[in-house]
Parts: sequence; structure tokens; C-alpha cells
Amino acid sequence: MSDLLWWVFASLAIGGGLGMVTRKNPIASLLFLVLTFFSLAALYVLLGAHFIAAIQVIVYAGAIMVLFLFVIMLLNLGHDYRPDVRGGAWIVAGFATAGLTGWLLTRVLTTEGAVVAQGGELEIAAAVREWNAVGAIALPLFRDYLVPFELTSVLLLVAIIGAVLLAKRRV
Amino acid sequence: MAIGVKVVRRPSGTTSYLRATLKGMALTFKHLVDPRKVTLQYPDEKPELAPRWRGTHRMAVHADGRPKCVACGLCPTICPANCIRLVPGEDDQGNRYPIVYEIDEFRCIFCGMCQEVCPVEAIHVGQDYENSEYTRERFVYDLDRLMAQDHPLTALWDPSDPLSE
Amino acid sequence: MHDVGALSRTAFLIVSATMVVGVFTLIMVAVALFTLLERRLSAWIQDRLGPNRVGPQGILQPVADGLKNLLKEETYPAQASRIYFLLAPMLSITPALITFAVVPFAAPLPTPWGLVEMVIADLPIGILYILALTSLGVYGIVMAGWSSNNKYAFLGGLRASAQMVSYEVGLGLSLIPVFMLAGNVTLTQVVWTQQEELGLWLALPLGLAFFLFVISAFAETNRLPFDLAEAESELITGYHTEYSSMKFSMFFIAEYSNVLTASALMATLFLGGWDIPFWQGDDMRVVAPGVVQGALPAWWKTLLTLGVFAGKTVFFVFLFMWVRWTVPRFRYDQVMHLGWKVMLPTALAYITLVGTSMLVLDALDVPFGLRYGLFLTAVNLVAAIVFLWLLDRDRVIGGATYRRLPRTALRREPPLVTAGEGVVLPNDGT
Repeated sequence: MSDLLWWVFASLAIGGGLGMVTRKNPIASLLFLVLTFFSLAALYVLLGAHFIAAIQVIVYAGAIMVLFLFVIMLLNLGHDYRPDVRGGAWIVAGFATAGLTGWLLTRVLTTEGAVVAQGGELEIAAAVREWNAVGAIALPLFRDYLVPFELTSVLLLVAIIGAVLLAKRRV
Repeated sequence: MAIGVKVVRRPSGTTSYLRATLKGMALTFKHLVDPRKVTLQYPDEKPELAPRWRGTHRMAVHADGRPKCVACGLCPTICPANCIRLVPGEDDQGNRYPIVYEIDEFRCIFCGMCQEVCPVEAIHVGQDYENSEYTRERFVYDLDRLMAQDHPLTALWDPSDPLSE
Repeated sequence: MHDVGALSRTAFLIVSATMVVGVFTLIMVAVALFTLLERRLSAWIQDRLGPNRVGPQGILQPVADGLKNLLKEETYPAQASRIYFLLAPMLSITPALITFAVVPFAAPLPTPWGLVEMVIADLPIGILYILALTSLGVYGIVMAGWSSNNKYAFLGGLRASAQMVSYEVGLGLSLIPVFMLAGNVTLTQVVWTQQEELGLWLALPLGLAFFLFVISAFAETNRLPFDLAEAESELITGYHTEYSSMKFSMFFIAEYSNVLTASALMATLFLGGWDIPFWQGDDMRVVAPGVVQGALPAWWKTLLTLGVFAGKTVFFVFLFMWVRWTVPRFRYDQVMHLGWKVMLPTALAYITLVGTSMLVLDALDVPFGLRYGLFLTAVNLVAAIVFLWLLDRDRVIGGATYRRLPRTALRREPPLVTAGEGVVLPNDGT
């Protein structure tokens, strides 16, 4: 049953990704991306990582993509179907993407990745039993990785200030 | 610009949205539980018509069943909507009577002037509004139909009692 | 601790399937009745009677409406994107119907085959699941607005997306104090906290969070003070302008089941869920399959708590409708202003306040119980007074005229608005 669901959602995720890249209409491609995010969340659930799944849906599918949708609709990009990448740039981008994907796949498919993946589900289940769904994420985040976490938020703050500076004509 | 816009001056610091909302909710709740409702349960209850309320026509009838109409032709003349068709006839004794008397109730504006002008009090507007039909043709009332109507008649305006008191 | 016996795997599957079908039916029936209730309440508020012809007191009116919608013609606007147009109502109704799955609606029921928990799926992420699904619900609305190829519908979808993103924040943040007290995000744990551990309904110690949650829930369900996406007077009916027959019905069902879920959530999170007040006989929770902590479960307790839960939920549904027929619609900029400049800072400040009070209480070694809760209630009361005192000024939602004036002018005596500032004076016949 789990295996079947895994195949369903994995193919949905890949199909959504392909659809997102190939659609010319920005709103259609955005909806495909939402499908991908949702399928990813379903895959997280199958892994037993409920909290990550919920956050994936709330933050990515629910908030960020809705904002994107809002911006696309507001700027009325619906009728501009010209490709953004011109000239030979897409060849370079294609090679870079293929290389990265290949490297990631070798990591996953070799023994090293497989070993990590095998214990993962049980480890997550144990952590959830002990700390419950939120605690299993929160404890490492706020204890072991506090500095990187805070640095990330500072980074985001910088990004927000930058965006405000760019958007406001007169500060 | 012909529209007058009333600008409400709201003093800063004293306007209360919460209190206003709660006050509004109290008001709506009062109306919610108030048993007095204005809805008329129409087919079960009928509205009370004013005595001078004007509806579908009636033709007054003599005791022997003839219409009181003498085909004088005043009503088609005065009718502002031009909805009365009258073809006058005369019998052996020289009495005029209507051969054809038709009122198109669709064109009629129910002003009641036909009733006011009638010298023999033959044609009346009456207190009836439940007159729906399936075809347009059925709204042209002929003489027989007008005579067959039996709803109450509309009272005429009385100059000595202008407010109907 | 009482060991009532756990369900076998087969029994669990059968019970779950029955419960899913049962709850689904119940929601659909409730939604149908809510449409009737809404129409009759609105009528009563406006001194009318409302639909009372079909069946006794109009109870069969929803059936008639449903039949009418089934038999109506399906229309497709010219040049609409057919697939997205069809997909939109489905995307809208699905999240609305499956959100109820994590809400516990009664005390556990002992059966000959074992103990049955009265919740379809007690997920470890509980409320986050609901937040996730409500945030997905907006896609149905936006897609409907976009695919209709209609400017009114499009504007409705646009407004819905901005509003949802804004109030999702308020909704999530107003719930954080609840989880700080309950220590978990599962709804069964929140109910248990209110029943036994704290002994207080969270509406008391977290009244301000309750208030913020209610406002956000109104915004999330697109109900009246915030129904910018529909806005009959400006946008016809917004995103579902072009929809007819059953597809329109689906949007309607989605809206009312969202209202139902939001009401059930308010009851569960802040009014003790299925807890019966001032009675210890129903304070129980399932700690392991078949093992109950607290009072002994019984079938009549399940029924009683189910009734109490239904009563609380219907009360909030009533509140939804009551507010809808009282308060006029916000302007778009007012909605954004309220969401980002009032709700968000208030919620953040309140989280800090509750967290600090909890730290202080823990430092003072106050045991987690009634005294703890009462102290928090006192803190909350002070916070609420301060907040409401601030809210009770026009800083929350200002009129359009004042927005353009400099801040200093606003503080002192506001200047008289005269002609020449874009204000039209009454026509004097010249």
C-alpha cells in the first residue's frame, strides 16, 4: 500500500515538475508547481515526517505559491508567452542542471545514500514518539543548530530590507 | 457633479469600532428575537386593500341579465391607455347597447377614469389582483367575462370627504 | 487508568470507514441545514420570515434547492479554460470536506470490540493539518476567478489570494499560545489540557488569542466582514460569477463546510471541545490503544459529549451568521491594514506576553493547574483591556479621508474637510 502510494506521488511530483517547466502560461505552470509541492508533502508523510509535510504545504503550497499567483495576476503576465532565457544561455543552464541532477542521483543511488535512507523512517518515528511531531524538529533546531538558524533569519531580514529599499522610491 | 456627498467628520481618538459593532449586533439580535414580522403569508393571508384600490374591471348587470352599459362611448374616449374597444348597437326600441365591449387588461393602467366617467355606473374597476393567465389573449376581457366578474367594486373618490375618513 | 481493550486491525478499518462515511454524511446534512438557517436568520434579523413553505418550517428547503441546482443548465463562459474551470470547484470543496478529520467530536466510545476514539484521524500534527488544508482551499477560488475569463471573477480571485495569505499569518500566530499551554499540536491533547491539566477553557486564559482567532477565521472562510472575494455590490459575486448549477453548489457547500470546521475548531481549541463544564465524569483521554486515563468511558457519556460539542459548534455557526447580517464589508485597504498592521503585531506581542508569564509562573513553582490558569486569565484580562483600549480608537481602521493627512494633523483637532480636497459638496443648484 505504502509502496503504491509512493509511486503515485513520486510520479505526480515528477509530472508536476515537467508540467511546470513545459507550460507556457505562467499560471498553469504555477499550478503544476503547487502539484509538485503537494506530492512532495505526501512523500514526507509516507516517510513519517508529518510535521515537515504540514509545513511544506502551509509555507510553500499555501503561502509562497499564493503570493506568486497574486503577483502573476497583479502584473497580468498571463499573455506574455515569450521565453525569458534567450540565445545560448539555455544550453549552459541545461548542462548545469543535468550535471547537478546526475550528481544528486549518484549520491542517492550509491550505498552511502541508501544507508541513510533506510534508518531514517525508524529514527523519525522514535523522535516523534519521544518529543512529538513538533518537538522532533524544534529541539535540534533551537539547541544544536541555533546559530545557523538565527543566521538564516538575519539573512531573510536583510533580504526583506533590500526588497523594501528597492520597492520604495523614497526612503 | 450633481451628487451631494456627506462627509462625516470623525474626531480622532474617540471613534469606537468595537462598541459600534457590539451595538449593531445587539440591535440585530433584538430584531432576531422580535416575534413581530412584516412578512405576509400571501396565499394564506391576503393583504387588506384600501377602499379606493383599483384592479380588474367589472361590468354592472341589470336584473334581467343585460349589461347596464348604454354604449355612449365615453370610456373609450377618456381611456388614456386606449384599451377599451366598443362597437355600439341599437335595438328595436332605440336602446343603445354594446355589441362588442372588450378591455385589454394588459394595456390598462388602472387609472379608474372609465368608472368615473360612466354616466350609468356600468363599468367599474374592482378589488381583484389574482388574475393571472397562461396566454396573452386571455387578458383581453370580453363583455361576458366582464359581466361574470364578482369581486367587490372600488369606491369612487368623494369630493366631500377627500381623505376618505 | 482503565484498560477497555483495543480494536483489532479489521475492526479498526471497519470502524474508521464507518466513521468517515458517518461524518461525511453529517457534514453534508449540517451544511444543507446551515444554508436554511442562514436564510431564516437573515430573514428574522430583517423582520421577515424566510423560506418556510417546503416542509414544516421550511426544513426541506435545502432539498428543493439541491434538486433545482442539479437540474439547472451547466453553462461555460466563452473562452474560459475548460479544465481549470471544472477543476476549481473540486479544488475548493475537497479541502473543505477533509479538514474535519482531525477534530475530536466526542468522548471515546467503549464497544464490545474495543475502544473507539471519536476522531477520524488523530494525526500527530493535528491543527497544522487544518492550517495546511485551509491554505490550499484558496486555489479553488483563485483558479475559478482566473479561468472564468471575467474581470469581476478575476478581481475576486485576486482579492481572495491576498486576503488568505495575510490572515493565514494571524490565524497561525493566534494559535501559538494555545500550543504553548497544551504542549502539543494534537487536538485531543488540547482538549485534555482544558479538561484536566488546566481545568479551564482556554477562552479564559487566552481570551485575546481567541478573539484574534475568531477574526482570522472569519477572514479565512471569506465570511461577511471579509467577503471581499464575493462582494456582491462590487463584483457581482466575485469568483463564482460565471458558475451555475452543481458547480456553483459546490462552492456553496465548500463555504459552509469551512464555516462548520472553523466553528468546530473554535469550540475545540478555546471552549473545551466536547468537554462538559463543571463535571469530572467526562474527563478522559486515550493514552494508548484501548487504555483510557481519567474517568471511565460509557456510551451515554459519548452521546452527551457529542451533543455538547454539537451545541458549541452550532453556537459559533450562529455567531458567524449573526455577524454576517450585522457588520458591513471592509474596504480592501482596511482588510490589509487590519491583517498586517494590527493582527500580526498584536499576535506577536501576545505570544511574548504569554511566554513570559509562563516562564515567570514556572520560576515561581506554580503547579500547572487551575491556579496557573487563573493567573494567566488575570494577565490576559489586563492585556485585553490594553488591546481593546487601543482598538477602541480609529487607529485600527481609519476612514479614507484621513489617510492622506499628515500624522500630526491627525493627532490634534482634525481639520474641517472643505471643497478642493477632492470632496464634493452638496449641489446648491448652480
